[in-house]
Amino acid sequence: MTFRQFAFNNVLRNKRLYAAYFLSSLFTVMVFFTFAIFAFHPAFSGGDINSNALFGMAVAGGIIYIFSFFFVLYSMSAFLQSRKKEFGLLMMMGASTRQIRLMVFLENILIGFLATVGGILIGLVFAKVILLLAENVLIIDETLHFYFPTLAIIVTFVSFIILFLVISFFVSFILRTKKLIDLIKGDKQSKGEPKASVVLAVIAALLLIAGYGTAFYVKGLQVVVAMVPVIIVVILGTYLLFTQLSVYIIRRLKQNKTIFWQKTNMLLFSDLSFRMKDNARTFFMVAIISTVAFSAIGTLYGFQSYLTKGVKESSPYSLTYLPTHEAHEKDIKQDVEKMNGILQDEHVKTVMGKVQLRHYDLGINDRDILVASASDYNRLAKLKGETPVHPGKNEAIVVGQSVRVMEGTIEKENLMKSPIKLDDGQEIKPVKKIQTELFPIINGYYIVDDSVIEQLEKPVRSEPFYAWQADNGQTEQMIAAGRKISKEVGYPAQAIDYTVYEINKAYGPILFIGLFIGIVFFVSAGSFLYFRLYSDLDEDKRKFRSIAKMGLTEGELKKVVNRQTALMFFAPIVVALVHGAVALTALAHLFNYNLTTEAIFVLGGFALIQIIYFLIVRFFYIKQIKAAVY
Amino acid sequence: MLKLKNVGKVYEGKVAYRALTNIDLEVEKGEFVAIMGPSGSGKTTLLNIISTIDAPTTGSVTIEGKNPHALKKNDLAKFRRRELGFVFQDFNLLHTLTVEENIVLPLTLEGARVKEMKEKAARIANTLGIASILGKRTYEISGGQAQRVAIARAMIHEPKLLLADEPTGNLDSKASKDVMEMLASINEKEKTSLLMVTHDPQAASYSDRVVFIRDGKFHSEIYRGESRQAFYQKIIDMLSLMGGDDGDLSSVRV
Ligand SMILES: Nc1ncnc2c1ncn2[C@@H]1O[C@H](COP(=O)(O)OP(=O)(O)O)[C@@H](O)[C@H]1O
Ligand SMILES: [Mg+2]
Repeated sequence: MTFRQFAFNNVLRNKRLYAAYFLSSLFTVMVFFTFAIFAFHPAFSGGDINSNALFGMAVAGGIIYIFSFFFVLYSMSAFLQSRKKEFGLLMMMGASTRQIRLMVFLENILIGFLATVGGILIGLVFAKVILLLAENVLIIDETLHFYFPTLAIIVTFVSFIILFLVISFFVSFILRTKKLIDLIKGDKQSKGEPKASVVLAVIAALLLIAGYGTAFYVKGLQVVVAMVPVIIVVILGTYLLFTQLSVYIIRRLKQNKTIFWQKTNMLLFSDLSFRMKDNARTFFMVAIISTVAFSAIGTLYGFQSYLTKGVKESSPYSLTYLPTHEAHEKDIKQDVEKMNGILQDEHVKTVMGKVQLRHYDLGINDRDILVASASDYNRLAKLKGETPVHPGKNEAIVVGQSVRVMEGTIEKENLMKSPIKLDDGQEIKPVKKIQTELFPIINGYYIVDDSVIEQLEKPVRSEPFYAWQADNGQTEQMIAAGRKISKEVGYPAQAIDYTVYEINKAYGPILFIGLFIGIVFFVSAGSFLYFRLYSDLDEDKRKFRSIAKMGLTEGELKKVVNRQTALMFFAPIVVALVHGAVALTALAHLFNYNLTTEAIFVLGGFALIQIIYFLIVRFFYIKQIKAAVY
Repeated sequence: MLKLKNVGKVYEGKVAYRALTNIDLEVEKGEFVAIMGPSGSGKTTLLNIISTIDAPTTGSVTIEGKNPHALKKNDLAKFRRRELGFVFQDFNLLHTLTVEENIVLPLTLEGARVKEMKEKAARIANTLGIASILGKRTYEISGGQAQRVAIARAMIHEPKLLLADEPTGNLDSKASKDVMEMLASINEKEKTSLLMVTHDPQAASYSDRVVFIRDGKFHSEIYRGESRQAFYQKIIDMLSLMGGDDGDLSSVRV
């Protein structure tokens, strides 16, 4: 057996130990490669996609690569840590540091090479799926046909061989001379609890409160200014939360004998404090990385919803036309005729409604307020199939401020409490309040009987508003019609289907890249947890084997392992979810747009994935422990 | 060949702990010395210092006239793989390797020729009676066999000093006896100096001399004389004189 044979045997015969490291490397390569397949697709090099998207992709590729680097580096150092004893033994038998480094270097080259090749092969298998997915998310006109990604293969291969080479050299750092005695005792030694002080624990709480408070407090553009300081404060707070507060709490629990000595609690807590240092660091990292993933995906998704749903809801019609103040009646007429013509050419069946938007200075809320005639309102109501209203001769119906308006800009004075005063001293009393989005107006307004309009003085401004409602199932035609209309009529006309299509098209690549990066981060957070758990597997096996001899039922064992893993999987994720929720709230404040449903959807989705992941990992972990114990 | 002078060890920690105080010890070439003492008396600490796993706080260690603790890292590695052999209580075989590969590991590190390694492994396996399990993996063999493999690994490069920390600690009495006879015969035939830590009087009775330490200090020493049986009795007497109760002495320290 030569030294090289020895190094290779060491890897090949010890698959389980190397599996976690290998798989995470494989995964990293795969992610990068699928991204490369997508980014290097010939459809993009034709110059058809805008340069912004290309730049975005380059940046995203860079982020993924840099992240891969640290991820692999971390995986490897975690892996090497778990092998301290082996290195210690070898050194006792006279292996020089140089030889150990050479061994680890050879191992890394072997694993790195296999992971690179394997990742590329698996990536090829999934390439078609990724391209299909991209096609749908991206809304590009041409199909992303499957192609043989020679360039992607070369780029991935070279990038990762370099990455593994560089990382292999880093090994020297990680193996920086520890005393032999520490190496040999390595796996039995507790890394100890991090020092916990009450002061720091309090500071942790204060930092988080301050960060959260600021995030909730700031509005509009202040959010941008506050972002960086808040992020720093929250990251610090999170670090202290895991290293100080948690240690402090566990210590208090341990001091309380009635809890600590109760049944299986002792096992759970003693383990927790034994691994506290490692755990605290992992928890912190997982929490931060997951927060990045949640916030990134939540932001992009929220932004998309802001753009599309916001557009759709603020103008519920298929096509609207709101001319500018200066437009002449003649031009308006011409535009409307043009649009009707285009709709006819595209064979879209529509119903049109025209209303007059009259704003008056009523001395309420420091702004001019719309007063609509009941017949105008009912015309639009009919278009959307909503119930018509019939206010009495001296009654007004108030339409409330749009629900899309954030609380911050709520009107000072409720229209319900303010009657409309006519010139002759008569008062039109608001009688009820309804909530609709029929008029292209986000602030509240009045609906009055047609006769009232005549009694009002001349409006401050008055403009027509045209709305067309197409029958269902004509999206394609509406997009086509919208394209023509936007070309010929321009800004005052808005065909909603076309606008949304355009937004999605421009936004697709960003969303796709964001999703991609978010998922990469989230999955790697998951594998950090996996590493943490499995680096303790042997220790756990040994521990439970000896405890089982003293009489630990299978049920009790399950319970202890269950709690231990649950804590590990959910402590950081819950923190990340809270962070994410706060971040999305701040985002909502920035855009003044309610993101609750989007946030629930994204965060809930991640929580669900994490639960499933937890169930799977727990199942196998318990199975392995039970196999070793019973 | 081995000389300890005034060796002391203090473990730094929250409370500094003095594990060894002023230990003087000399081992002649070819001598077989056993170190005994109650659990926690500092035996392992002493052995770790001699084997360069740990550094002494005070005093000096000389092996063949050289102070290994003063060597540079590379020279120390070479020193370990040429001059020293180790046997541990829990064997410490590498489970990724076969029995044969475990045995030749020190030569592999030295960069010896494969043919030479094969020959040496076969020879030593024959003497130790493990020739039939050379191809097996470490989890397929018994504790007694594992310890003999560990001895073969410690001996294959013909070290001048063999260090053993409770080599029989994890073995049953039959396997203990085999292992001790093997160590004794190696000591006799190869003239390898042997320093062994043990809490087992039976094992200690194979040595030429037993050194007793207590609370990290030299306590006393006795020489073997003619008969092993009488020596065994003397060891037992000394242990009871030292006052450590039997339960403590025979409890297995892991
Ligand atoms: N790394 C260490 N840090 C602090 N104290 C230690 C350490 N290792 C051993 N000790 C203490 O030194 C004393 C001697 O230990 P050891 O040499 O292992 O005893 P033994 O004679 O049982 O082998 C013990 O009291 C032990 O608690
Ligand atoms: Mg000991």
